[in-house]
Amino acid sequence: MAPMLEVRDLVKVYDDGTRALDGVSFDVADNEFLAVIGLSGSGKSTLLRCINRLIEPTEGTVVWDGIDVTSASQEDLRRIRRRIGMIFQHFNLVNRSKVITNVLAGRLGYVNPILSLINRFPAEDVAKAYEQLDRVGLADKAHNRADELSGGQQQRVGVARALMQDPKLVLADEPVASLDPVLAHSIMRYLEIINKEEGTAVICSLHHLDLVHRYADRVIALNEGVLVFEGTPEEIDDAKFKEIYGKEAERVG
Amino acid sequence: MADDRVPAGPPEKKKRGWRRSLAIAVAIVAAFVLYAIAFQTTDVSLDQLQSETRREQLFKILRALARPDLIHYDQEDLVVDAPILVPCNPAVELPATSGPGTGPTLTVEPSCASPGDIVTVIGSGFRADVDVSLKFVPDSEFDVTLPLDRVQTSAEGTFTLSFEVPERTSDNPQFVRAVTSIPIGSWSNRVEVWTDTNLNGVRDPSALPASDQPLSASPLPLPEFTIRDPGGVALIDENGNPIELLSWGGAFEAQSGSTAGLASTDIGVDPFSVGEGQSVQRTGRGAVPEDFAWVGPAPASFGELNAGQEPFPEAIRSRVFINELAFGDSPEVEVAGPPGSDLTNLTLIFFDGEDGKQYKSVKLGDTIELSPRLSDNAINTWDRIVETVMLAFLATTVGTLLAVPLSFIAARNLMRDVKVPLVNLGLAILGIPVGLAVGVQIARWARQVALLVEGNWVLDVVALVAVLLAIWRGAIWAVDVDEDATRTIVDRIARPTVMFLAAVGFFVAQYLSADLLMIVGTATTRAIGFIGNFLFTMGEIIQTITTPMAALVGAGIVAQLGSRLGYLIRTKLPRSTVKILEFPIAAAAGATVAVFIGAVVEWFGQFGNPVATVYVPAAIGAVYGLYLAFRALKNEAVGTGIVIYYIARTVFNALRSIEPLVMVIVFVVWVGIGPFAGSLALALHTTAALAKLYSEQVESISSGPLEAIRATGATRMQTIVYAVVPQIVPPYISFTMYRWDINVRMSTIIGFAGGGGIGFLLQQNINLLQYRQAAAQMLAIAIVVASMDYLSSRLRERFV
Ligand SMILES: Nc1ncnc2c1ncn2[C@@H]1O[C@H](COP(=O)(O)OP(=O)(O)OP(=O)(O)O)[C@@H](O)[C@H]1O
Ligand SMILES: [Mg+2]
Repeated sequence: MAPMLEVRDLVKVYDDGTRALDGVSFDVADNEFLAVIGLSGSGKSTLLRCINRLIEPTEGTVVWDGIDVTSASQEDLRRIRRRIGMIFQHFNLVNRSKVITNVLAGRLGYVNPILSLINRFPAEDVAKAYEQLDRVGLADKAHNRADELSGGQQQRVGVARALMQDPKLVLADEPVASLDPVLAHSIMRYLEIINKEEGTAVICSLHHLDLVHRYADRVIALNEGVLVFEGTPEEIDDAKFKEIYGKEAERVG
Repeated sequence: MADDRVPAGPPEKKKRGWRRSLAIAVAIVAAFVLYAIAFQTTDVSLDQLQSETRREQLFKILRALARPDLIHYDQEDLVVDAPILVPCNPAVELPATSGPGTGPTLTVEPSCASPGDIVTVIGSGFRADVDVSLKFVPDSEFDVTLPLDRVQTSAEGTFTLSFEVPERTSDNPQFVRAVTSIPIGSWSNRVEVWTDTNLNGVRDPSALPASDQPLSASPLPLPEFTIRDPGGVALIDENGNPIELLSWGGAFEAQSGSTAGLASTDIGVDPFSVGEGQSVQRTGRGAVPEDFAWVGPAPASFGELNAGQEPFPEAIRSRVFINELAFGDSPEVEVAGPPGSDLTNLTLIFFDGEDGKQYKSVKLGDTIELSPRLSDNAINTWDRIVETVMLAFLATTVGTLLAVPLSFIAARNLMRDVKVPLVNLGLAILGIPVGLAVGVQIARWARQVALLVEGNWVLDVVALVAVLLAIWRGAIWAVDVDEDATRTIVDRIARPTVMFLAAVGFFVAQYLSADLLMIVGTATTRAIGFIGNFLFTMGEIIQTITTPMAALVGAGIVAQLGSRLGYLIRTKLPRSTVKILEFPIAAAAGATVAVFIGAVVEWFGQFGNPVATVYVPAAIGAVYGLYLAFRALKNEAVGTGIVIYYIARTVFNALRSIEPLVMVIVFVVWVGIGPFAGSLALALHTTAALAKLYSEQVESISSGPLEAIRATGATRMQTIVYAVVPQIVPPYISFTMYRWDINVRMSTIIGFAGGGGIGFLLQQNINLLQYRQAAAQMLAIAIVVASMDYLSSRLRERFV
């Protein structure tokens, strides 16, 4: 069976000449929880955004579910994007909008473009939005403004928004980097549930190796845009660690 | 390395220091020269500042500014003539001095003279500190006067003036005339408004107020004249017969007028020795006026019955009488009588107690006139200031409405990612002229359809509702993308067709609503003129813009189709074929754009040279297209977004840097002098300025939400509505308010260039040296600008 996501020779050169990705290739299977690790600046965010073309890759291909994402038309790209949920380090909620509006935004790829412009969503989408909020324990905050929530709560709204998309794949870019360890685990557990119980593939970039060990099925590591490791979390021994994080790096925890 | 440099350091540093000093010296000299030139060219001159006449001018203006022309006193000329004989002729008898009563008097000494002699005029009994203009009234069958001089009366109301007798001789007496103006509004300030129907806030003196009492009273503030003590006052009825004659400081027998021979009744109290708010008044119980006894000083009750006054209802009938007197700072008399009594032709005559002669008569019907009223200038100023504010309001609204959408295409962060493959772009551009033509045709069809019902408002409404419903349903169905469903033939053909019909329907709806507006406008014009006019004009505007709108929409749709075609070509044909096809397409598109630019240049320049404006641009455009196609061999997408961004920014910056005051000149040429030209100029400037400010706000929004919304598969419009709009609402409101402030300021002076508003009036008055009038306008500007400023800052606080 073909993998759900195939990334081949992906290269991203930014306008200023920075080579953020340099020939990265890997596969992601259905139901897989893939962690992406690497130093800051190694290209993790760039990689995740190239998958749904929030950033245009310079070279290489991304094939998702048998569709070539890299050459899809704008129209097709939207169809692809709506099945790929995304969670961000800084939550990326629309601060001045209500929580429920933020969650409903997850349906934008599905709903009627004209009706949505006047903030009309089908009743079942609205019901679903409340359901998702309930699921992340924020039902009572639905009508608060997003910026009235704490960081952990905001990230849960972010998760709910991603789930609204009925995603087959979730891209999570350091979803817990700005949260404390307890909150981090609670968010990671949501991802775990999505992954294990609903069979959604997850690609998640992480900074903490203990989180990688705890949640990931497989790990890829980037260093200056080059894929330097691919394997299970257990395979990261000291030698690999130094290769990924550099000679001077110390293992903590 | 560091060691190497240390020894080399000092000399170099020294050298640099020397250069620096030289540079500074040169800069100082240059600055010196620059300021000298600036002084020279701007005519800086202390002489002008110090010159006596200039200063006098300045003070004159400043004084005028301190007394803006806002209030107007109705004035009455007081004319006093004194006879003079030129030359002396003992055979002619001089007539008496003529004037109103025995108030102001004028004598000439000597009372006869030869031309060229110097004679003296003496005036007394005039109002204090007023201007008197003196004239010589020659014996002539025409109504002519020769101006002699102007004087100001002393604090006692007197003046003396010597003049040379003019070369006018006659056997008849001639006259020296003194004319003063009495502001007849100025002495009615104390009028109490209690039966007021007069908009000026002045009691109507023609009747006593209605009352449930048998007696009613009316205060009558007196004109400014010196009331004599001892003295008296008589109330005379409409037939000239005295009703009563009261006196103070003693009794006398009237010597003149219809009252001659009548003995006065001393009231026994002193109407002069009353304090603020006091009077002498009649009180007690009674049936005829004489029953009420005079008391006082007591608290004044002008306009009401006096304290302790109890009239018997049956007795007081058809008698009006003097009920209260106060000759303090603002003399006032109260007349009482049966409620509703007509006062129109009653007269008060004042007597001198010494000689029993009357010196002043006050006719009740017309002596108490208007209080100060707004001058014509004030009314004009008000009209213009309303115009000014409305002008700013319209310009701000229109500018904001246009600037909001434009700001999105001038925002780098939204446009940066708009990249289109060259084939798509080329075909889209080639589609534009076709689209324009199609759009115009569609508008024509829509017009035809609308004409079926036009002129009948019922049909209009029905058709409009039907069409709008159909468009709404149709459009929603047509754009609804089914979840991942493979597109059937229905989708491929029916949906675009419905979309197309919806577009046609939209323009039909525009024509229908335009027609409806015009019908309703015509109907309401009779009832409420300006509303009807507004509706009608809106209808006309909609009708006028429908064709260009349709052309633009058509261009957009066909361009979109071209782009689609490009996408099909790229995905269905082999890559090399696409690359080859790209060359002719790009060349043609480049030529199209260039020819369009050439046409614009031709329109402006009227060169009439097709080689320069058609062929050469076409060639250049084609070559540029080929160059792009060549480049596209490597890099598919062309950054159209960024190009549009740069064009928009350049246009906005260019427009913004032209002052509205200059723009209005162009519009005045186009639509004529007036507020319309001003609104257009301000609206254009506002659009450009706000679009720039807004787009900077769009650029500064946080990109996170934008990214997140895009990642959900949202369209560009959805991204703007869900990620951009919530972030920009507060700054947009704030900038609109800021712009509103600027527009109010601008609209006050845009009239200088013919753009309407108060500036026009101001400039006119300044040019006519009417500084007091101009002062009113300046005051109005200051008030409006300050209050709008305050208002907008309060609103800004609320919203942001
Ligand atoms: N818009 C951009 N323009 C130019 N260079 C960029 C841009 N975005 C990222 N880069 C560069 O690309 C490289 C990879 O950045 P990226 O954000 O993908 O790293 P990262 O692994 O996600 O780092 P972090 O863990 O800090 O988030 C960095 O060197 C960064 O400076
Ligand atoms: Mg990152």
